[in-house]
Amino acid sequence: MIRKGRGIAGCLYSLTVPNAPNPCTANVLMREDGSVNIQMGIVDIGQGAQTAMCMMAAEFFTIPVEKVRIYTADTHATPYDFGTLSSRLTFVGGRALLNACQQVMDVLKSAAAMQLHTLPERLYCEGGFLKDKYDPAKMLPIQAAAAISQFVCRKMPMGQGEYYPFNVPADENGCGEPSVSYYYHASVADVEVDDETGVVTVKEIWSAVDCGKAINPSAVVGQCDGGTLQGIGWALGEDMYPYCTHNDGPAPEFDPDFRPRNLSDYPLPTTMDAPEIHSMFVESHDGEGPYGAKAAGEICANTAAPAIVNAIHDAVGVWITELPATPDKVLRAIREKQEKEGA
Amino acid sequence: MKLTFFLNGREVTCDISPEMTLLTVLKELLHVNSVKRACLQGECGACTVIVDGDAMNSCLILAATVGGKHVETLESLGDSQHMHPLQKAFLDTGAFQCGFCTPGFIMSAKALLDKNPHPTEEEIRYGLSGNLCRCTGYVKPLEAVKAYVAAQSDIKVNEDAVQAVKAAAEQMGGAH
Repeated sequence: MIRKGRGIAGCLYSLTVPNAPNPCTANVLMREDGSVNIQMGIVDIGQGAQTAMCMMAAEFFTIPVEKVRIYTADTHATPYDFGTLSSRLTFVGGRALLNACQQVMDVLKSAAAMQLHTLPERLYCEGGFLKDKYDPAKMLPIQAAAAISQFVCRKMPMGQGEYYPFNVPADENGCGEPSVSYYYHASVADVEVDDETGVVTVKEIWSAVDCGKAINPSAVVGQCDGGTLQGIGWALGEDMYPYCTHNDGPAPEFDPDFRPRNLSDYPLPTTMDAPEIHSMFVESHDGEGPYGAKAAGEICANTAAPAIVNAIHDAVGVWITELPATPDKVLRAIREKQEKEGA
Repeated sequence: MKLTFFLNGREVTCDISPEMTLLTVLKELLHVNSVKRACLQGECGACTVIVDGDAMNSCLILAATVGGKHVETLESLGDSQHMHPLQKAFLDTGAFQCGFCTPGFIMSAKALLDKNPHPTEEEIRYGLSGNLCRCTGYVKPLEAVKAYVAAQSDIKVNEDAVQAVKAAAEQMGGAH
């Protein structure tokens, strides 16, 4: 008989590496045609950090994002970064980038102030122009300011930014401030459990992330979709074990290689397994983050599996305490429960 | 041995050894960049190409077997200046995160749509089931193919309207 259940799970995640100094540095240069070059040590492994950095720089200088170029992950040419981990790139990298951009902007403003016969403090940036707050007639394209500072003022519009996230290491009681900020995620899963075969099917899943300000909303939703399906895979099929499985011969010995070795033995969900995933983000403003942004990637894979396990409990009243919840484990748990109730 | 086949409509000849797979020939001899080398077992679909109209894992095909056949890779669709509507649909939907699986997805979708221009949701899912993706959860790639199918149907309707207008114009012309 098919039994339906619904489960919910939530979690929080640190935005920076807990209890460790994890700085990021950025070099920013504006060329005389108004295009911006960024050098950063960050590594984009597909999560969209490069795009996010370009979008933040474009927002800062109010120029089209096509005019921003980024060079990353080359120890020969790019400055230091701690690494792609702990959801820190948008937050820590973004702050380093904006610090560098601010230095560039200071150079541009002093050049523009000289040209416009005004004060740098009176200038602000809008629509690719530096404008005087009190005199609307005084405005200068940002590329003109870059050219003037480079060739007339003899000062290159470039900046080196860095950011050290604040944290207080834990004391002997485990009290401290491990991360400068946190972000949150929650999932709700609707599942169907066949109590005769133990097969669990996820019918629909809702997934929401509190990402601060969404720098690239399409990528945030994409990360949420992907993390959720990854969580479903972990909950229902994917398994890794560090032991050799021998069908005959001696008992399995410890094997440093993980099994399975190949995708053929590792049941990644395909399009046929993917349920309807409803991903969304809830925007908040983080006082410390760049433009109020926090993070969106890593956390999304965390709550699908506990939500599904809770939903299984809601459906058939058994707790699965070891993932993945394969049919044999679910069926065994149901049988044990039935025996206990019968006795 | 000499191998001659048609790559993206152009006849190519290369000198291969008999154990080479089509993937090796495309990637190492012909420098086709869109074809990805990943699992080499036919599991992930990142090396999908279209051989005589069928989507196939190029890592599983011996190159010697494609002699005289037509092989299509992502390069046949278009580049960033002249994009195929299917590529445009993937781009507009944002149907990728890291992008490693995307060429395979687009080629599988193209093979499906060439045979069946109006697939149902289930047919699209089945058509793309040979491609693994870890980043997108398949939500947006499926959306992209659906958006492309919907856009193509819209164009059909408009063509009908154009025909109707032409017919009406002819009738009016005849009345004069």
